[in-house]
Amino acid sequence: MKAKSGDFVLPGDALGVTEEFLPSEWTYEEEGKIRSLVAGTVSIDQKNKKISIIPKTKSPAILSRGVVILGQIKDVRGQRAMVEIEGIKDTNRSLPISCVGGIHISQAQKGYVDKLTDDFRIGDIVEAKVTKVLGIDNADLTTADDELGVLKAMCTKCRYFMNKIGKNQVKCPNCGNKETRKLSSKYEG
Amino acid sequence: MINIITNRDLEVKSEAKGSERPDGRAYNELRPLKIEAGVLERADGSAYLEFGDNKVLAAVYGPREFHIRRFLKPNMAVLRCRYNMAPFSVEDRKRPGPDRRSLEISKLTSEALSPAVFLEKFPRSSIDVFIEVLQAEGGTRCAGITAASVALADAGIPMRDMVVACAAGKANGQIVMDLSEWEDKEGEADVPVAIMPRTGEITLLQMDGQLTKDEFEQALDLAKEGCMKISVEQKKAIKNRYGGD
Repeated sequence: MKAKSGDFVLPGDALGVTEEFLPSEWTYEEEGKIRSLVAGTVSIDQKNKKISIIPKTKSPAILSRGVVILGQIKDVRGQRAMVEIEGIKDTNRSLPISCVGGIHISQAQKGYVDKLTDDFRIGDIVEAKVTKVLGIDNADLTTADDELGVLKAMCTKCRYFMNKIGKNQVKCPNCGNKETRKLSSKYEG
Repeated sequence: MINIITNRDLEVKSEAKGSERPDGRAYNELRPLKIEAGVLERADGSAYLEFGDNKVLAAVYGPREFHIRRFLKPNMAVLRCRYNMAPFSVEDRKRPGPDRRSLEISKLTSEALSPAVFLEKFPRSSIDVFIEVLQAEGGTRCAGITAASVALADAGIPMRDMVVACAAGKANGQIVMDLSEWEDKEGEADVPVAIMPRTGEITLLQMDGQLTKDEFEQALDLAKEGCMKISVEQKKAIKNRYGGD
C-alpha cells in the first residue's frame, strides 16, 4: 500500500497514513489515509515529511502564487490598476470563475512611478505575475520584470493599437499621439 | 408488412440453440471492452469506449465559468451532463435532439458521477460532461458513465475514485451480467448499477422489469462483479495514456 517516490497512481489510490506525512498538492486525507486526487506520479519530500502528486494529466487552471496571467486593464485608479484576468499563460484551460487582479503602483515597475496612468491605460492587454491570491477570485499582481507589462496598448484618443518607439514609449499609427506605458519586452505593436 | 432480416437477427436465432445466451456468453461474461483516454484534442478531457457493439465518446470541459445564475452554487461546482444518441446509432433512425429518455439519462449520469468528484474545490463554476453514443447495443447508460469517468480523470479533475457502471438482469429465466440489446428488450429485467469501486458505494441503481428479492440481490452482486472487471480496464486506459508502467 505504501507508495514510493515516482510511483504512478490514480485518483483515490492510497499513498500513506497521516501519522507519516503531511498531505500536500493534489492529495487529500480520508479516514487517516492520504490519497491521490489525480492521475500522476508520487513525490515524497522526506525533509519536510510532505507527500504530493505531480499530475501527469493536464490540470485545471488554478490561480496561485507565481503564475503568469494574461489580462486586460479595466480601470486605473490613483494607487491601483484593475486587471480582468482572462487566463493563465501557456494553458488553454479557462479559469473556473472570472477573476480580477490589482497592480499596485509600487508593483508596476522597478523604479519610482509618479502617476499610474503613465504605466497603464484602460483597454491595455497585459502580462503579469501573481504575488498573492486573495479569496477565490481576486489576486495581487506585479509587472516589475522585463518580460512583464503591457503586451498591446491602445491609443486613448482613437483606440488604435500603438507601435513601440522606445523604452516605455508608444506612438499611435493613426493620430500620431505619443504615450508612455510599462511595456513588456515582448510588446507586439 | 415487410420483414427485413439483418445479419444480427440471423445470428441471434442460430446461436440461441447452442448457448444459453443469444451471443454465446457465459452468465457472468462481459462483452469485449476497449477504452482509450485523451482522444479529443480540443476537449479538456476525453475518452472513447467500445463495449460489445456500443461505441461511446465522452468529453469533459471545465471547471469553467458558469453563466446560468439560478443554477450556480456558491460553495461548489455544478456537474452538468449531456447524454446524446446519434441519429445513426440505432437500427431505426433516432430523431435527433434530447428526448425524455436521454434527458433522464443525462440527469442520472450527473448524479452518478458527482459523489466521486471534489466539486467543492471549484465554487461557482461548472464541469461539463458530454456523452455521445455513436452506436448503441444495450447498456449505453453504463457505457456512458464508464467513459465519462475516464474522461474526468483525463481532464485532471480531482476525484475520490473513478465511477464505473455495469448492468445485470434476467433473460431467458436466468440472471446474467451485462445485458445485450436483445436481452434488454426480450428479457424480464434490467438492473444498471454504478459504483465507486474502491469503497463499493453505489451511485446509481435502477431496475426495469420484475425480479424477486433473491433475484435482485443476485443481479446486484453480478453487476458489481462486472463493475470491478470494467474498473480494471478503466485504470488501464489512464495508465496507457499517461505512461504509468
